[in-house]
Amino acid sequence: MGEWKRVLLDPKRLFLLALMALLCAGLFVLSLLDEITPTELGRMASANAYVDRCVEEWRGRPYDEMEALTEAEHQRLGDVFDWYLGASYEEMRISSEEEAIAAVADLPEMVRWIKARDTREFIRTYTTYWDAMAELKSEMIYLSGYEDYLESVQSQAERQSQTSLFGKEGSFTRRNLAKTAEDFKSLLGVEVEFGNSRGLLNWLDYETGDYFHLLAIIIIVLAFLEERKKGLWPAVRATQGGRLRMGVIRMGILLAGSVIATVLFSVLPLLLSMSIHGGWGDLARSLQSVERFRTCPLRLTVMEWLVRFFAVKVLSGVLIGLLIWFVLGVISNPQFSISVLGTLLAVEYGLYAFLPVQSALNMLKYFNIFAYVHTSALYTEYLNVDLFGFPIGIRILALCGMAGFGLLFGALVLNTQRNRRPEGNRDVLSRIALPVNRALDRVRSRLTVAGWEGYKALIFQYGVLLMALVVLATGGLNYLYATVTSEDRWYEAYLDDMEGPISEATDDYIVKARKSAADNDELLYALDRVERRVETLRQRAEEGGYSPWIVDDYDYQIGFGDMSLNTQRFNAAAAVMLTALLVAPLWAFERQAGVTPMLRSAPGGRRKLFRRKALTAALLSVFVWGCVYVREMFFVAQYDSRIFATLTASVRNLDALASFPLALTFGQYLAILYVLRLVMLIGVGETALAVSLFCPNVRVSYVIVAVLLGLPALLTALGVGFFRWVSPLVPVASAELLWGLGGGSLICLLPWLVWLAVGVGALWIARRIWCKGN
Amino acid sequence: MELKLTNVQKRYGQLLALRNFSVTFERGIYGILGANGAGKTTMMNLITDNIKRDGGSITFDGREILEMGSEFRGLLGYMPQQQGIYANMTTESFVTYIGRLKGLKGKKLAAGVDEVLELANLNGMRHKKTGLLSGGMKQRVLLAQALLGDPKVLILDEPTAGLDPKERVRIRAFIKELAEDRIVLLATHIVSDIESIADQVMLIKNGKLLRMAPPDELIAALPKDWEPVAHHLSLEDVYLYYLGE
Repeated sequence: MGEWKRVLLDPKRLFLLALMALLCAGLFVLSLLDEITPTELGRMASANAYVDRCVEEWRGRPYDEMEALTEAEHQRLGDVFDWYLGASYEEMRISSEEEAIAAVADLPEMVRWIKARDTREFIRTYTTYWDAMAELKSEMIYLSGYEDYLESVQSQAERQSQTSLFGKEGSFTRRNLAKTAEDFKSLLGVEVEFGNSRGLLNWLDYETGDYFHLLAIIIIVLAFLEERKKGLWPAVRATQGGRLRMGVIRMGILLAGSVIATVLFSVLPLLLSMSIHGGWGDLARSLQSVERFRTCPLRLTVMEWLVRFFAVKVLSGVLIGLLIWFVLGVISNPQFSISVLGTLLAVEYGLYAFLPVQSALNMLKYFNIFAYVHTSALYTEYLNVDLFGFPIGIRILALCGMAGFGLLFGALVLNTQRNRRPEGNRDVLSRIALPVNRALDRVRSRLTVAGWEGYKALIFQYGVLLMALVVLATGGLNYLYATVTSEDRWYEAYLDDMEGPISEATDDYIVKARKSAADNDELLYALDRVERRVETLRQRAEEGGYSPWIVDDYDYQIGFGDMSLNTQRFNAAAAVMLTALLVAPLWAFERQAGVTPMLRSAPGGRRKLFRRKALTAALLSVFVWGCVYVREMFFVAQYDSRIFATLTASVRNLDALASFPLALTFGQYLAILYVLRLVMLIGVGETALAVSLFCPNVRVSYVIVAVLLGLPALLTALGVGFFRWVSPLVPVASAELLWGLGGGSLICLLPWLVWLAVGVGALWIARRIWCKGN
Repeated sequence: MELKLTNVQKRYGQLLALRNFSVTFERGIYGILGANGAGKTTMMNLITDNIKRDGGSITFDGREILEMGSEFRGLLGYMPQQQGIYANMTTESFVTYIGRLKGLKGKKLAAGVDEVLELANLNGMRHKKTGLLSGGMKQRVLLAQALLGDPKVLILDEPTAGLDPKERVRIRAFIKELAEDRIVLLATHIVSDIESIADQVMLIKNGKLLRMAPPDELIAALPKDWEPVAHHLSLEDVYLYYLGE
């Protein structure tokens, strides 16, 4: 009982798991939002209620009737939208605010923004309702065609099996066709029903929960190895139950831990998702009623599948736990074992994420640790892999693998637990450590002080792993919030065509476009908007003394302006947090190692070392800047290369930047924006470095920089207004400050200056303390 | 070559760790004896400028060491009392890294590293991570880094702690050799280490220098009625007479 209590009831571990559960639930809610604001939360709740109501009202009706109902809903939303944006065409159904409010009286968020006359929020709300209805429509189309789909699989298999193009008799291709037809035959006659699947679908999309599950398993396994770290291994091994019996007990703990992890990181997010989106009553439907399971050949209800899924999740956790336990337990050197485990996980993730499905090696993709991490994919994807010419379903393969590898690693772990001795072990990896170290020493002997600082940061302080995490974490960032509506589409298309300096050719273009638009109301409406814009730009350029250009405000708004405010802040918060965490160990590591008196007694151990540390912090900041903002540049270039065609135009051509105090081109504006972000991020890095100097060890340093720099930034991004004054987030994001300067407000310079002063000041104090003694 | 401390004072809150401490070191080995908290490590930390002094001056050949800055630290070799070491570095890497901080480069660095690892008898351990070394071996690594760069002032805080008798004798002989053209300050609790090699023994109590003289003189100055700890008078008797409560 003692070991159970030590591992599962340890207050620190319990606290960590509870914190992770909260974070997991919080991130799930955030994943549902386009922006992290209370307004967005309200919008989502309102859209969910809207969908829930429609589902309840329409349930049981014929699919064609339901499709017509969704179209009517789209029409209703579209009418209000047209009126709001001032469209004018003959069939306009709404002509006043009263009529618009009456038309959407059951949609409180729409009414709210119509009354408030907030165009940005109105468009977003409209898009949310529109998309929710589009999802319902798509589900109806799927359900109405599912029977035909199943039949088409059978007939297609029959047809293709008679064609020599699809392989010879006895080949994998031919066998695969037969197997697919056979698997899907069992689904013939399955009844699919319309219902609310949004809770289930959003939960399935939330893969982060799987990583929390993995992390929880790692935490539990690390608890098994605590005795090694604390030097208690010989003592534990010398006790009566300290060997095989301890191994068996720990296996039980691992199973219990996996159950707990499954409840916290799979079951709870599902419950949360269902309570947000509704759909409890629809769990008795056949699994194939949910489009995601269209190719799942199991005849189950959603509820039966969930029970089966959670059982598989628990067993997957045990298997992953056994594997990690084996790797960490069999290698004596803790750092080496972690490196081996890290490499193994990285390779497995690489194969899982990047190996194409069509690859001849695709078995490595599905016979993979991460197939056991993302277990839902085993049910939502139908694929047979080639096993010596025979098609084997990835689900069957993974489940058989789970049983086989579970037994294998279980036996290996018990063997290690029983026979591994604390002292005198010379495992294979330890044996190769010496020649590896010898070779590395040859390289390391050439490192300069700066080189050593980089080496320490990357290798000893696990900077490489953190940087890999930075790359992964920033890969999930959004850069643009696009709300291109059908009405905007034509306007955007015209601007796209006309983009460039305004000249007589512009007027000719409009005249020609009017002719070819004939009596298409939508096109004419868009051309009216274009013409108005051209006039405004001409007038403004004449007054300001610069060349007028057609530049689409929208492109800059969604990339760098007000429309992307929350995205910009969230990305900046991520950049601040990641920079702070990367830099946090730089000084604390020296203190933890206890080498500071020695370093400070060396001639190059003060100013020179300090300069190298500051340089390392700056380079790490540049790395994060690259991951977040260079990636943003590429993203913008990929999304809308039009921005790059306007780089030589004056920024004052944009409405929002009409009063910009400097006569800049867009190219210069963007260069300043990215340089400002870089400088501010370096400032954050140097501040974190200074804080690190006062921390006794790396762990404390992580916590303190996260609390001082990262947390206020995250809270600002989450909408807690007060923290914007005490966090470097706004100056790092920079876009909103530059945008503010566009409105002529010079006070926007203040946050940059303040945080520049904080960075320089912190560095100055740290330098003084390190170089002058204490 | 002269290292001179004049009226040096250091206070930790209410505690006066060194009070008007004055001493002059010239070439040779200085064994520093004192109970825990007597001020030995504080004195060493002041010489290495790892802590700030509250008063007095420390000069090297007449120049204030704080003004000399890195020039003075270039003459220093310091082995601290605590075994602070990068556990992930190999022995060779660690010593090379400190060599870099001491300003050594290229062949001079490589030759210096080879030499001190040989002197500290660490050649067999040069590619092993320091975290995997025993306490005694770590002690030798710290000694090796202190010796690197041919320092004129060598400050060794408990250099033989954790070493086996054979290794202690070896290190002692080696320190004796080193002292010919440098100042060696050696603080230890192992009185016998000092007795055999120190040219001068300093007795420090409550932050004050009680006595400084060659070991023989200190022993000879003991009262006639002093009962020896072992069968003849030794430096341990001096320690107990002056510093024992």
